[in-house]
Amino acid sequence: MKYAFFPGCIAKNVYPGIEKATRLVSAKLGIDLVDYEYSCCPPPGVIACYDKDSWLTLGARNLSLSEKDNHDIMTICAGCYGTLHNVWHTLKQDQDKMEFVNEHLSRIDTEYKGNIRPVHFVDLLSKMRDEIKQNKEIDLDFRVAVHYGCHYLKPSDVTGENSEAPKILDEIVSLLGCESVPFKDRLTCCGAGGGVMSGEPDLSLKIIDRKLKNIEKADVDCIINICSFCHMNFDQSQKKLHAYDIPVLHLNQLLGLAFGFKHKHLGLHTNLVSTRDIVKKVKGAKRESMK
Amino acid sequence: MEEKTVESIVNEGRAYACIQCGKCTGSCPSGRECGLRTRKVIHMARLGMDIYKTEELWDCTTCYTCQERCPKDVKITDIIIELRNMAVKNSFYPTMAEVPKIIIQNLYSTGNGQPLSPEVSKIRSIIGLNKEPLDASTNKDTLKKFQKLLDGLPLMQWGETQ
Amino acid sequence: MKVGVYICHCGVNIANMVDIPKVVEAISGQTNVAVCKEYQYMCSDPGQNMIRKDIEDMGLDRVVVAACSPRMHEPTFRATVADAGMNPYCFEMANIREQCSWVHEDKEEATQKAIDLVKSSVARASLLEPLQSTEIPVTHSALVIGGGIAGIQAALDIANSGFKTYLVEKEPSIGGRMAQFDKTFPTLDCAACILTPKMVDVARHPNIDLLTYSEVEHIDGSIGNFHVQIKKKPRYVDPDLCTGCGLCAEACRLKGRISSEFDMGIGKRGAIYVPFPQAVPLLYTIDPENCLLLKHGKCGKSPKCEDICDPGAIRFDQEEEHIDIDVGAIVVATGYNEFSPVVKEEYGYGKFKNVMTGLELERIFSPSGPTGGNPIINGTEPKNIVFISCVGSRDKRIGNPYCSRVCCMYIAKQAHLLKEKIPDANITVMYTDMRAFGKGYEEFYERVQKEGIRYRRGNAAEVYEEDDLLFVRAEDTLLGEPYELPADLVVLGTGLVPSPDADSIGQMLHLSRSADKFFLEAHPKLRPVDTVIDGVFLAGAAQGPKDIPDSVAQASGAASHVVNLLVKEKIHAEPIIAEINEDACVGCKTCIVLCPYEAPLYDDEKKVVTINRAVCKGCGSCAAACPSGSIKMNHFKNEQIVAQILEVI
Repeated sequence: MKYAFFPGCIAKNVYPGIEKATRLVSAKLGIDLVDYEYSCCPPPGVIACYDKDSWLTLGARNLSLSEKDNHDIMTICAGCYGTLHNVWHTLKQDQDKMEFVNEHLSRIDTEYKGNIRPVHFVDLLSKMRDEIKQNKEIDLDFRVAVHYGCHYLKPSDVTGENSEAPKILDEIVSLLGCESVPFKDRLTCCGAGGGVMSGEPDLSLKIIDRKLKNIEKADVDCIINICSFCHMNFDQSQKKLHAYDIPVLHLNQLLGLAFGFKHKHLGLHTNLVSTRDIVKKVKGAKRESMK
Repeated sequence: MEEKTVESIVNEGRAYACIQCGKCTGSCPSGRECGLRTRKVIHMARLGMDIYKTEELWDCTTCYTCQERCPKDVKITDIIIELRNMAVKNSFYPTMAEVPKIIIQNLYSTGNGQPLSPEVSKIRSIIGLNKEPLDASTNKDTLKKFQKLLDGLPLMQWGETQ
Repeated sequence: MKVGVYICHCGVNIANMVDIPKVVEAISGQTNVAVCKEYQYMCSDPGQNMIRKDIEDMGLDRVVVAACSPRMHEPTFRATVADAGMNPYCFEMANIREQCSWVHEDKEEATQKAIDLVKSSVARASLLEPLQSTEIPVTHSALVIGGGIAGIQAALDIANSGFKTYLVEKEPSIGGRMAQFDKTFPTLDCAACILTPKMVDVARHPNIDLLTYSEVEHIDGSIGNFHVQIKKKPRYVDPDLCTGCGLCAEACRLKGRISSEFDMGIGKRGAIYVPFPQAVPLLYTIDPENCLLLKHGKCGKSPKCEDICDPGAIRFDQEEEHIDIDVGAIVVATGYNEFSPVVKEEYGYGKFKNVMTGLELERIFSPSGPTGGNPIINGTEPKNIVFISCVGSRDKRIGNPYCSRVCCMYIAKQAHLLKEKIPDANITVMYTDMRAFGKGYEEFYERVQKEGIRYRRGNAAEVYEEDDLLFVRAEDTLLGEPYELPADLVVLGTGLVPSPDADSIGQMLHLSRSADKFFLEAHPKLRPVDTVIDGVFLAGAAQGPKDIPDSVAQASGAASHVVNLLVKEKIHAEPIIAEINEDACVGCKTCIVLCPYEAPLYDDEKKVVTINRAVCKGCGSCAAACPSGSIKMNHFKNEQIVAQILEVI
């Protein structure tokens, strides 16, 4: 199984542990990742809000890169997924936009045909449950708060997901031995999107403060996400708010732990919020499983 | 493609069907913390008012919950994004749109909205990744072509008018 | 051949966009045209007289009127020409209003189009053939499908006029949804008190044959002569011996263990049961899906119901019966179901136990319901109650764009009843728009507001649970502020959807459905109880969401149409039907596959198809598709259509 790997700015340039975890976990699961000269997705909330047509064009450039090799493009961030999937969906339906995009791409001798599909890593995982179980070395007995990321779920007429009661992420963490703990407003936005995190940091912090309060009440070991952008917001905001102490892990890092990779190889130690307790628990679980 | 107007945005997003039930505002995670009243945005757009001039438009996190739940299937979030485009086109940059401008500058110079810092580059090599990832900025020719693409896009024109 | 052509102004409707003198000038002198005239309103008395006089004076044998849609006035003008002695099927209508003046903006082009349309009609009229309608005898009895308030009213009205009426109900008792209600808005009449006497009247009426626990299986035939097959499901109880004493239900080993459909799953029943105490007929029924003996072949040593029944009414060997009846007319009163709010996941129905639907709350209110009429929800009396309107109504996302018409008022009624039972309760109604359109409704709305029910404009966004308490989020759209309310009971104002039985009944009768999936009436204004199938009428919520008074009114309307039909000895059958040349037919059966009405029948002996004249609706599908050209559609023969087309191309 071969996929063009779209790591996205945050996993590459801010939380490289997520990129590393993805490479390690993919190799275990037999997924070959191919790298291309991608640019930023670009972000749905910022660039699309400035000029939607430019956003479509830059997204289409990214999509076009693996077309010649016929590799579908795999993302690990709800934001990148939202952009690439939405661009793919829009251009499939709108001939005028397709012409606009290709007119611009032709200036750099590129063409977008629409032959490959963007997928989120979690969708691949949902079809590899047996492989996940086979590769699991440690049963992670964590209580986790899962966070899907808005642009993975919505708009549902484009994504095809059930935005009010999604299950995939809950099911995958439970395969690893974790309990997905229900908490108030578990599906609401983390407050990072739409340019709000950078443009209106105070508002963004208010939104995530509420979210973190609800998660704290649920008494979990960590937050598990499938969006590098939300990941960044969850980790950084706890420091900005000078409150909370809830470790933040991307799903792929959690998979990495369950597959037996060392936490330092997964970059857990580079988070702002300490992951020490998580690591301790993993070590305990490892000793359990070796008995 | 034709120039968008508030009217064409209303029609494309089916805002004419709005019954002002407020399910959008009630669902909005941002509106709980600020002055954004999604229902009002749609109503003002429908009345042909210059909604794109208001700052609340930029409080939306584009989480799509309003659009998802709208009983009349109004494409609410898509409309907000189009209205923001219109604001930018008409040079109504609210103060909070300043920072995203930096993201555009980053995008132009590095191909990434969030560029790589020397610190993270170091972390990359510590955890066993390439010091610098392969991307649009790795190869000078690729970056040049990427910048050429950007140069001709409307995104950069708006950047300049500000 | 002498064709008279009459161009109607339709006031300004046509004359404003079509230059009528120019049309008259262009048509006068055309082949076969003996006279061409114009008039303000051709459908008025003077207009019709003009046609009659010309037929008599000039001996016209064909008439063309260029005016509105034939749907509106073709019957008018056919009668006009028949008055003057002309065969009504030699009349032709050109539609220069809906298909011309109303849809165009350029007068010159519209005028040219009108000329072409009239010329085309003249060409067709010249080839029309006189047709004779045939007479069909009428069976003087009626079938009413559905025993809710609409079906009950229709059956009583027809039976009271002296005609035999079969009332078929799929449940063990008649009464329908209304029997589930506690009180009715806005008068607060007790539903059972006004419904039960009518149910008893039905049971006792000498002209009504009541078939409960029965389903219509097959219908063929047409107006005046429908043949209906009805399946009577086995009750496993002898109706002649059962006294309705209820000892069997008390004795049943499964007593209180099966959720009661009538109580919307809140109350429990046994395997032998009556749905509610006032059931008509008061006969017990064994539910074969749950009965231990019927399902597993064993119920202890012996079934307790059988042991205790003194008259010996239990009949485990009872089999289903099939009854054939002939009727002249049919009333469809299949009613509605409550919208299932499971798909509106943001409201948590099915997830949070204290979120319930309007109909479920109705059973809580009922003195014969699961809580004996006490407002106890899952063991406690709620103090903070939120009603949410428009759940499953005015909602395009789930495919129900229509207003269900009754929810605003049943919410008001239920809020009132709760306030009466729990005076210190905080009750809030989150509404989208208040629709209090019926007699006394607005006054009732004012009354409940005076009682302290808080109305806040704005549809609820979502319901969530925290520490065992529910919270409802919404925007108060009048304040322009989002807010949250705690609630220990959330009532969803669920809307109305067609009964699932509408699918099978609709297919059997070839009825059309409107976009909302309810049955389509023949005309939205002027024929609201008719269907496009002659002899089949609609009553109650089967045609669209309705409150009780509207259902009853429509049922009486449907009944009067049935009676109008049944008092006739004979009716005229439309001669515009397909005819087959059996000598040319090769028996390929293409027509049989295409016909929606089962009119073509294959004759096994002759190896050809024959057409059942009584059933054929004249849609023309068969004639158009017949590969051997053996089928001709009267009034729409190939040469008539071709002549019409040639004039416009």
